[in-house]
Amino acid sequence: MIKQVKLILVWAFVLFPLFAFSQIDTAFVAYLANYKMKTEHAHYLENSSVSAEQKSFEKARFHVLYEEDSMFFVELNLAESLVFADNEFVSYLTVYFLKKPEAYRSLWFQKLMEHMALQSAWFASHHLTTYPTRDSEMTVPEEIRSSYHRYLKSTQKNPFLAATFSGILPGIGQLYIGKPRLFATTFLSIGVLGLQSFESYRKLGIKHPLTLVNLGFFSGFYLANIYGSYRDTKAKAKELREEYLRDASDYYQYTLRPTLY
Amino acid sequence: MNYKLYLLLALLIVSCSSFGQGASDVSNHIQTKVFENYQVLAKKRRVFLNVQDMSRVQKLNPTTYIAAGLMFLYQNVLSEQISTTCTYEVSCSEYTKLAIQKYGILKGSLIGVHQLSSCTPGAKKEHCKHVISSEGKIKNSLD
Repeated sequence: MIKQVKLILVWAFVLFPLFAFSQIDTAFVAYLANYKMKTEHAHYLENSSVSAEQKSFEKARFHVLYEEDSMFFVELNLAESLVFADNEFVSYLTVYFLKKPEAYRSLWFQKLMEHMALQSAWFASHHLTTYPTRDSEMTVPEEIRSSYHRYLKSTQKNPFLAATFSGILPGIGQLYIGKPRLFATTFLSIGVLGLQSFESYRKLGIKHPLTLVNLGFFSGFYLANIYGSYRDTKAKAKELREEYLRDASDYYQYTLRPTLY
Repeated sequence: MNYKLYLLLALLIVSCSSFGQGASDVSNHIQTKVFENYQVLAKKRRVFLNVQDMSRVQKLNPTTYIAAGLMFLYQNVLSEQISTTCTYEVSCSEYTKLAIQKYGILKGSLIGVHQLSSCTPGAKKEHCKHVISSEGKIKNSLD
């Protein structure tokens, strides 16, 4: 019996250092992160004797800290279960990716949907922009509701209708999507070009080169305005969506205060 | 007497030339700091067209080259003489050239002309904050 206890103790002494020193020193990593010691941080993680999954998890945090998004997704695929087990990190990432370009953002929310099915309202903020409805407006926090409302209104504007309006009277399409300044400049510039064309046609006739040049300019700007209204309507909705997601990111950053380290 | 005068003059010249200071790093630094605002900026390198990105029809269409050539000519000859700056981050001429390259002569020209007609200082006020760059220009990209 005593012999067995002794044997267990000897093994415990042998195995203890292996367990004790094969972990990431979180306080040290936090120190490296706070002082932005990138090279030292990377070197420490690379040479740490932890499991491959744990190493990828730490590397994922490292890449988020230095905003290396594509590298983060490489590490995320290797340590998916560990990342999604850490709620604080997931919160941080959600707030972080709300502000990022669409390609990374949609990739992250796709992963999030697979793991969490967007249960929480704040996780859903991205989902709301994919399928915007009037009913969903009430689920948005009051502080960022006006931003969502502006986005929702912009999605209800029809690009073809904007183009038709611009065809009837140049610039009206811009007024329809909420750009009064652009309406004024477009209306004036195309109006002047139209008047100039008409004047040269009246005085010089249709076959005169100056009339043809004037008419060319007028028709070019007129057609460009019609097509531009169509494009602007889509661009405006996209811009306001981005604005709302940025507001949402700021709001959740302020209310939840998720930290990386 | 003359001999002494020549000797004195020679010594003066030698001392001036040997102990006279050249343009040190400090004076160079001062000079560059003082004339910093008056330096002529390096000429921006313009690319005519990235033919690799174009479709076969676009490559064979001569109007594409004429339109892009006109833009190229404007950028290299006319634009430098006009001291105005564009409201957009990618200037109207560059944007038109890129649009022609991506969408072809018809659609590309329409996109370019529309940007030109909306290139006014007031346009900034109709965009969200995140679209305005730190230099105060509207970020525009073809996507």
